[in-house]
Amino acid sequence: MDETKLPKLFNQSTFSYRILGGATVLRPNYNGNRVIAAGQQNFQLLAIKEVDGTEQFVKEHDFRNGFRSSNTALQPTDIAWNPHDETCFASASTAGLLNIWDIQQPILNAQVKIHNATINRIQFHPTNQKVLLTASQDGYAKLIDFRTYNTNKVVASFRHVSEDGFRDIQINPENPFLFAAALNDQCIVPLWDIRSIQTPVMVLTTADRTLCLAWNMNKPYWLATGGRDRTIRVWNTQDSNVRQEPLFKVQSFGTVSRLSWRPSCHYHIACSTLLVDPRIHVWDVRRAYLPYASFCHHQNTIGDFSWRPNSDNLLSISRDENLVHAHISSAIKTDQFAPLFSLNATSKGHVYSAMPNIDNDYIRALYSEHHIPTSFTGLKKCYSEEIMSTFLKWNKTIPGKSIVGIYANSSIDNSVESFHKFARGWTFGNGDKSSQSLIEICDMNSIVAEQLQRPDLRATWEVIKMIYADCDGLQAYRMHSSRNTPSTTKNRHISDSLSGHRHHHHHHHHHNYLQHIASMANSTEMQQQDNESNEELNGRKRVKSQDQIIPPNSQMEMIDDADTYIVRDVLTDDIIFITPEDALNIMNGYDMLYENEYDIDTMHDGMPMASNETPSIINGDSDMNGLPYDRVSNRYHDAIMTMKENEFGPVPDFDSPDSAMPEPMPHMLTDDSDKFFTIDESYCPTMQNHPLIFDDVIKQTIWYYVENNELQVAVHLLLALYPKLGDRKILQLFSAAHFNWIKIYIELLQKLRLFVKAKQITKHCLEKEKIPLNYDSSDYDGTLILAAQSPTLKRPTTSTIPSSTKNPSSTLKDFMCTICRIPCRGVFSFCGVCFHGGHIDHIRTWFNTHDECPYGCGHRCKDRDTQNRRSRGISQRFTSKSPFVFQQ
Amino acid sequence: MVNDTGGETRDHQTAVARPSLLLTGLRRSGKTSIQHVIFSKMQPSQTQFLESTPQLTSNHFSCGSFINIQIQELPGQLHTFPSSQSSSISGGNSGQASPYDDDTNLVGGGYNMERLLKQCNAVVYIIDAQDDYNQSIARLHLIIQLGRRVNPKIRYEVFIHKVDQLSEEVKRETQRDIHNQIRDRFADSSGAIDPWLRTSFMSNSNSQEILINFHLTSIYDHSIFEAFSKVIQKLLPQFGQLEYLLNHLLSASNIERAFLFDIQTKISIATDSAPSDIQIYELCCDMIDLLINMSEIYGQPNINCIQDTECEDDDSNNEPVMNGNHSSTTNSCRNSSLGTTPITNNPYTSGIETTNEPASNVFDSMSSSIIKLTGHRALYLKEINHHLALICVLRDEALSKQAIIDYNVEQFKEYILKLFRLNQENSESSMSS
Repeated sequence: MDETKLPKLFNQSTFSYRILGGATVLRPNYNGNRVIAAGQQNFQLLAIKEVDGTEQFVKEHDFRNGFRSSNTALQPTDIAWNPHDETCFASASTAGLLNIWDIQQPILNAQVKIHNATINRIQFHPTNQKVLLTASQDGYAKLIDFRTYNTNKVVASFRHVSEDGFRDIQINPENPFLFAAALNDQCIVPLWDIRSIQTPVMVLTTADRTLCLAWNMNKPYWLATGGRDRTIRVWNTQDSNVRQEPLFKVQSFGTVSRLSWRPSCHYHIACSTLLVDPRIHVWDVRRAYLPYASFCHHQNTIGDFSWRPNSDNLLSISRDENLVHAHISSAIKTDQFAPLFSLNATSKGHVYSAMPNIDNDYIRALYSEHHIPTSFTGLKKCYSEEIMSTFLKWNKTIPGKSIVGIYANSSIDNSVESFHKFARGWTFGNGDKSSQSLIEICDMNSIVAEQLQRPDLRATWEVIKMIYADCDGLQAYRMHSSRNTPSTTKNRHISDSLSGHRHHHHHHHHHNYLQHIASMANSTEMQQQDNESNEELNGRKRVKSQDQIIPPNSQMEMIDDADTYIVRDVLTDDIIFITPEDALNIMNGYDMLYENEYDIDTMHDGMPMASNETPSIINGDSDMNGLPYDRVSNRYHDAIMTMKENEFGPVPDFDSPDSAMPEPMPHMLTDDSDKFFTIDESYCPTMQNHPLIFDDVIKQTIWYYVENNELQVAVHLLLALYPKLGDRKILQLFSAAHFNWIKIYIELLQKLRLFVKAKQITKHCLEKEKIPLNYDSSDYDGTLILAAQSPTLKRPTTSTIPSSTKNPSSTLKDFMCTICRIPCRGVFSFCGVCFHGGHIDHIRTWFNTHDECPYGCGHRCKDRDTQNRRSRGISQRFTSKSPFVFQQ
Repeated sequence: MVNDTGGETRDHQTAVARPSLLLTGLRRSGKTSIQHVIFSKMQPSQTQFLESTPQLTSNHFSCGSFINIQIQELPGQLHTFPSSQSSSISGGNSGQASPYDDDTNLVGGGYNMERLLKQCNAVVYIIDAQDDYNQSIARLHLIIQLGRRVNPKIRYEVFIHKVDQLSEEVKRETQRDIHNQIRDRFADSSGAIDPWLRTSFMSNSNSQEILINFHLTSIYDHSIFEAFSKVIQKLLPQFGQLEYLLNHLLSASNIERAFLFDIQTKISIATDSAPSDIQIYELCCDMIDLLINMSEIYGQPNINCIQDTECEDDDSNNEPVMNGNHSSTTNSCRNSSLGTTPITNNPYTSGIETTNEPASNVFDSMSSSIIKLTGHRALYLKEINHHLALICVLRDEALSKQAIIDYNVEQFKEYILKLFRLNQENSESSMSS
């Protein structure tokens, strides 16, 4: 809006012109009223004229018309206007020819062969109109003086020792004797003095191959370089220290192919990338994590762009065959889309929230400069005490889903012997609730598991240990480390903001990390889900938090400005990898997460947001499984796509340039004024520590083992975790099914004559954990497991699999041996598919000689052993690793 | 010394006849892995099982008979240098003594480092970025010092290797740190030893003698291929001409980018002069994979082709047959469906293979492919000879004049074959003389 008060040099309208494809050079002349667009199929001179009150591109001449034959002179690789003679310009060609053109009677004035290879860049000397500098692929940069009489006019040749070709050159606008060069395969930028051709006066060391350069017009010793490493660096060329660090560093979105400083603000630099990004970003070098503005007028890769001299208008050509003239006001100011509030949850149990600071210079400046009319209450409301406090006290649970790694059982040994061994080896603690005892239990049990060649079980125990026992120490450590770092980084404000907030705004890739489990499984050679997915969509990324956060006893810490940068320190490590197949689940959780924002978003256009229910992000009791999936996803699909982070209250009207509301945004403050506010200043991040709840993980794990006939493992896990989780939680998780498991296990132990162990467990349960075991042996006779298992196998609500329609108690009460036709008592076995079986001895002898079911149903029970081991899943819950399940 | 401008250094080139590359680095830094991944298509994950190489090995990179580059791998664990580098550096204060010390040790180790360096045109030094690289840098410093004495024209390419585990920032920091350390060593040693060296690596006259390029590489992505391509390109005497030819093809056919790839190794031996991007490189590599895989599945033995390829193997250029065959059998059944559908995959392949590269046995004179991508981009692949393929990136509008492109590519192919044949004759004559 201040821009509108400025004397209008040029029209601010956006207009475009259709050109042929493949244009890669665009050069406005020094007055800004003519422009040449050139490339493989183009060589046009266009004028920018006012026609019918609006500015337009008007074609003045097409140089390709005059020549019939394919002439390399007509496919310029670069164009340079003569700064002192506006009728004259030079073009370079792939054949190393330099052509001088006159636009008055459009003709080729002169043609000089300078180089043996493509000329990549030419530039007229800023003060001496007869002198021109060329940079070529053949490894030479040459100074051309048209006043000399020798044939090729070359007065000086510059060559780097590496003999690499020159990619770009630019003469310093202030000191016309100094020029900087970008070399093809070198990660250095030499600066030459035109008067001494031997060696560069100075060499800057960049990190990767540099492709482009730009001197700052207003700060003549600032040199910006950009290249393959996607980074724009701004150097102080007065500092001759060879090891100097760049003044500013900006991470761009792709290989930087062209840079240009904005004429009206010496902190702003526009950059385009080589391949990916159809946008031209204008970066404020002081704020490296978010572009100041983005020109999004093109649909395809940018060929070239240039600021129209002395204006805020940007001219650009792209592969989509358009030449566009656009004012910066038509560019998208990315920071206005940055959410005011954002939350991030990490796997280590931290919740980070960033929110606007109510009382700081930035807000005061906003108000004092009357960028916000008093009538406008939206921002005030945004910043109101009420919202801030609710936000601060935000303590709702985020229902999340965790992914359980699927362990493959490498060695299948279902023998009674191994059951004995495990029963003897595994311990279940003494009821001590401390983490230490859990660690001991887990260590012990994992050692036993390894000895018995069950690395998968070992991994399980170690994961349990990691989740429940180690996490206290982990959190203490993290708190400690995050407390320590800010002091060292505080004074480097810019770079901090660069790295610190990279993880915060939605343009950056954001991985989260959850899987302790997965990583553990990985370490023990187990089949696991590959939990990585790269969702790189043009640098956009959704933040997904997947953890369950438990609120009630959380303690909120307000972090003062000194600790602002904690965020970076922690977030870099905490990465959740999400598999595509989990996207479904995540979608659910994610939708829930944004349910309320969605509502706000619908409201936000024009109207200030509704306030009081904002922070109640999640209805803590809502069970998303109750919601039909498609309804959820359809309804919130838009919300997900548009909002990358929690947007509790977007600043109203930010996306409607034609809104009646003047822009309440601070960007006017940024131009050259000292009052530059980074987002750091306007935000006060806080960190909360919540103990993470892995209930879901445990639940799934134990269910997994129960369903896969590893009742022993499940019970031992339960017993080990009992002190940690507590009665209530376990009851809630397993809905009393676990009583049965324990009882069955005790029963099994007894049947296998492990009476001591059975007694130990009974005692442990009754005395230490107060588990009510109403042991009544008459209830649990021979068919006990099947009777007990069928109801337990109905997963409470999550399971979509229809539960067995059989009435297990009636059909299975008398399990008849198929061989001898006598009801089975004690241990017997049956096929997991056809449910036929009988006494172990009978069945064993039968299958010594047969493959088919002894009952005569035709099922080849024995074959299943080899076929279906891998694809065992919930749907085949009765199948086991061996064709027969031992039961009693 | 290899020179982009070509002509003036022709004499030198032909005398050398075979550019040679010395691949070295500390033990377990990944030298053998790199070779296996590039030259024998080993899966990167398999390389961890490789044993360390005990002795000097030699490998040849050759695109048919066009290019002939010798790659020598000098194992890191050989005691080519005294164990205490510091003593040799401090011993260097006394003038020329130190290099001779090195020499005796080199010979004692079984390999004459000096001779190796004298013979080679470039040294690829591999630094394990995940390891402590101080020792590695010390060794590199010694090699460079020795190399500067015996063969000042060597290029040094430092691969900062195994960077796949590092974050973007750590990569840059590592590279910068290594760069600075090397520079410091030269600043120190040159300041201490003799004054003429001082000018050679000081800031104002940056590395007048020594050329060190840094590449961040990893065998788990395409960066190693790209870095190796750069090294190979620098060694190719014909690179300047190839680049010129490609540029010419670009401007004549309205193509955006053009690459000349070795099918077998996915090394690009030449590109046009536009700035390269790893993404395009990856795209081209994937296209080669696609073509080879498709051809291996659907390729059928063709009697004509067998003859054809055999002729090609004999002479590496049998233009009349190739041209005739091309015009008669090129069938580009255009299928303008969207996405990344391969449109033309020539099914005619040779059943028997007489060359030593097995992967190229389905790649023959009629191999060509056009892939249309979203975003109005298309890829155009055409065989040049049995080992080389031209890959062009172009806008799909340009394909409307595909006949022109085909013709131009055919001309280009002819020129390239001529160029290499000329080169070969040159080197042969110089060898025989």
